[in-house]
Order: sequence, then structure tokens, then C-alpha cells
Amino acid sequence: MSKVIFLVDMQSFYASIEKAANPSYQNKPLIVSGDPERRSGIILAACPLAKQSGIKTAEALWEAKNKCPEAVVVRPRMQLYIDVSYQITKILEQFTDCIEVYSIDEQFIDVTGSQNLFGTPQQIAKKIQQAIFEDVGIKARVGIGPNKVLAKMACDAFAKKSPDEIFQLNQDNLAEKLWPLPIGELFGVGRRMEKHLEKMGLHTIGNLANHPVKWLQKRWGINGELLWRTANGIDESPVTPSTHQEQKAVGHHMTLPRDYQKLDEIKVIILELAEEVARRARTHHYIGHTVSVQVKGSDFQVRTGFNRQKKLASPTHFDMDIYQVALQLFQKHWDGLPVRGIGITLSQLEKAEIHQLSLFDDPLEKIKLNETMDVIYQKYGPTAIVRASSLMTAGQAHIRAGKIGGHDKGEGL
Amino acid sequence: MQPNKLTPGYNLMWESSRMMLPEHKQVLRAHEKELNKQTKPLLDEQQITLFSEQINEAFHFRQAIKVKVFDPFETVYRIGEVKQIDGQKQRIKLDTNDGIEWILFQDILNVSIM
Repeated sequence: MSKVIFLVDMQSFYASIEKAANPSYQNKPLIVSGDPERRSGIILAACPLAKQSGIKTAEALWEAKNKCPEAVVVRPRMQLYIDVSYQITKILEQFTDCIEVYSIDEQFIDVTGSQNLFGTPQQIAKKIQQAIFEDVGIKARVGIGPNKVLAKMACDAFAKKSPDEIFQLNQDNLAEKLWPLPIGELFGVGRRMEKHLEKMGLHTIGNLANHPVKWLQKRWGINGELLWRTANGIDESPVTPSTHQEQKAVGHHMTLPRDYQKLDEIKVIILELAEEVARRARTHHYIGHTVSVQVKGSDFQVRTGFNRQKKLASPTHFDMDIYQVALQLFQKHWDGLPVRGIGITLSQLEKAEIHQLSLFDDPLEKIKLNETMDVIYQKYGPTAIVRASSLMTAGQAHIRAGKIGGHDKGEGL
Repeated sequence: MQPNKLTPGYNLMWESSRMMLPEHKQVLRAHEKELNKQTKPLLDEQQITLFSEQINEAFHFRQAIKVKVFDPFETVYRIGEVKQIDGQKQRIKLDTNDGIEWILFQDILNVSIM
């Protein structure tokens, strides 16, 4: 028996939450936008009414205001969005225990075993839409398929456009429905890949699906075969509820308020990131073997920047160790051009309780110092003690403390 | 062989394509932990009498005992010598390898003499 997988997706999630929270905005166009004073001043979400006047997500706030001057503009409240997303997870738990949260507004669920209780896939989808709308006032779209990739494409390419916002895609209607669509609509095809495929004469999803897979493998390896499988609706990955349990890396990335060009300024940021990464690794009792640095250049046209990593001699979760390696990597690979964003990641994690001690440096003092700092952080928050360098104009520590994902945290539920 | 994005049964294809805020993941991890929370079982009264006899015996003959202690998230055993039985505060003092440990009567789920 084939499985029944849903992708449940929230319509313009952030904007819908703001509308549900404030009924007087109900019939007005509404946009959620980051701080226009800073780089994050872009449209994060626009309600369907606002989208009618041509507003697109990720464009600048002033562009959106030109298109629709009467739109209500609200600041993001990231903590609230996370809380509502979690509430929706709990609603879905009434239908099945097999849930994989894919992003803040998309969740995969496996309802194969729920059909005896709740009816046909169509009926279950309707019930889910109803439950979510009654509880949190948000419209959900449901893509149905025998696996995750078909559920995802049923949702993205069809459910969003169909009147009841439910669509089922399976091997029987794949060729008829999905294959005529342009190649850019295939899940996993970005703008660059779209151009490459079009140059090969593959303009529709069907063209790709019927292209010999070995040629795709030859050119793109695993990713080529993955796209071919996606076009043919093949996906053998199960809905995995435990997918967020294991932590593979601790990382933090920051888009800077302006382009930083001086090494002294960038050092401040690298240190702040190293501190954040180290602190998070310590709170979760992890220790990591590899430090990597991601740098984004300021020019969008010519992509500058790099992503380099280094394996450490002995694993660490201390800020100065991470900072030194990160700075070394940065100085080695930086081309001197203005920097728009920096990220630091600590990976190859293992539990901190068991690890080989370094022979040559004495970590006891470091351990005691960091333990003390962790207690202070826990009691008084992440900005209770900061390094003096964070108080310089380049520092971001205080601004960052009020943010989630680079946007205002706001109040939760 | 290392699993890749095409390996059946693995989830790498989706894990490499998703965007999740660390704060969101943390909420989900806490939820998962809460789902696996155990409640304390109700013990039979005769069972409790048996435990108290075993603890008394171990105390008098200075034998080491292994006590299963209730914890909502994990299975915990404590092994050590009974140093004191405190009827006032309803607890026993256990001398374990990790030092002195006080265990409340009500948290004891099982006792065996080593």
C-alpha cells in the first residue's frame, strides 16, 4: 500500500498571524517588514491583498510602499511566529504522530495510518484546514502525495492555486499535471540551474524527467540524479519526526548593518560570533572539531566571499579558540573587498562529557572562567557581560540580543 | 558507505534544503523531550514493605545495594552502601562512588542487594 504524505503550508504565514492578532487589519493590505534603517529592511511577508498590488517578498520596503502606499506595515515578531508554528505542530499531532517540521510555515505529516480514524486523504486535509483556521485563524494549504517530494510539489505548484487549496499529486497524474510546467518550478531548481537546464534544451519538468539520467549524473553527480528523481516523483526519504533532535553543527551568521571594510571592525564581529557559537555549544554540552568561516561580499552581481574550514588539533567550545582559528582563516582567504555578512560554524560535534584532553595547554582556568560566565548568562541574559570590543561602533552584540534570525524577536505567545 | 541525498530511508535530501531557525529547533527539541516524559508508577504496598526490609537488611549487614531512582527523563540507578535511614525526612543516605547521595523513599522504584 502506498503512503499518504501531506505537506501543510501556511498562507503568507507572518502576515496572516499579524492579521489574526489584530482584526482591524483584516481587510487592509498588510506587509511585515524588517527595520528599514538596517539591511534587514526587506519585505518578509505580504498578505494576499498586498500581493495583488504587485508586492513581492524580499523586495525593499520603499519599493513595496511605492506599489501600495496604503499598506499597513508591521515589524516582525519572530518569537510569536515560532510559538504559533509550534501550536500548529500540536494541532497536527491530533491527526498523526508522524510529523516533520520542514520550516517555520511548512510541516510534513504521514497520515497513512490515520485514514481509518479520519477518512480519505481529502477529508483529512479538510479537517486539518478547519482545525488550524479555527484555532489560530490562518489558512493552510495541503499538498498530498505518496512521498514527500510529490506532496511538496503538489502544494507549491497546485494547492496554492486551487480553490479549495488542496491538491493531490501521484504517479497517475504526474505526467499530465506536473510535466508540462516550466523547469524553474521543479523543487530544487534555482535560477542558475534553470538557465543550465534550458541551455540543454530541457524547458519543462517533463523534458528533464525523460532525459537519460546518466547524462545528468555525469554533469552534476548526485544532484543531477536527485533532480531527475524529483521530476519523476521518486523520493524514498521517510517523514522523520526526530530530524531536529541531533545537532550536527552550531553556527551563527550575521548580515552587517553596513559593509565592513577594515580588519579591525571585522575582528570585532568575528569575536562576537565566536562567543555566541561557543556559548551555544556549551549550553548544549557539545564540543566541536571543525571551525568554518563563511564570508559574503557586498557585491551581488559578482559573487565574492568564501567558505573555508579548518580541523582543530583538539576539540573546543571556547570562544578564544574558535576566534583564533576563524580569524586565521579569514585573514588567509579575505580578498580585502567590503564584507556584507559573516558566519562562523562549529561542526563535527560530540558530547562534551567525553573527550580527549589536550596535552599541552592547561584548560582548567578556561573551564572555570567559562563556567562562571555561563552562570551569569543564564541568570541575566546574553548581554550581561560583553567584551569591551563589542562596545565599539562596529559591535553588534546588544542589537543582536533582541533578534531571532536577524529580525526583531518581539513578544511570544 | 556514507549515506547521501539519494540513499533510501535517510532524510538528507530534506535536511540539506531546509531553513530552520535555531530558536525554533530548540522549541521542538523541548517538545520531543516532554513527549517522552515518564510518570511515576504507583507501587504496591507489599512491594514497598519488601523494599524497606531489603534496605534495613543492607544497612545492618553493610551490604551495597542498587536502587532504581525515579527520573522523568531517564533510567537512573544508584549503587552504594546505606549509611543512614532517616525516618524523619523519609530518606536514605547512600555512600556511592560519586559521593554521598540522599534518596527519598518516594523516589525508590526498585531495590536489589548486590
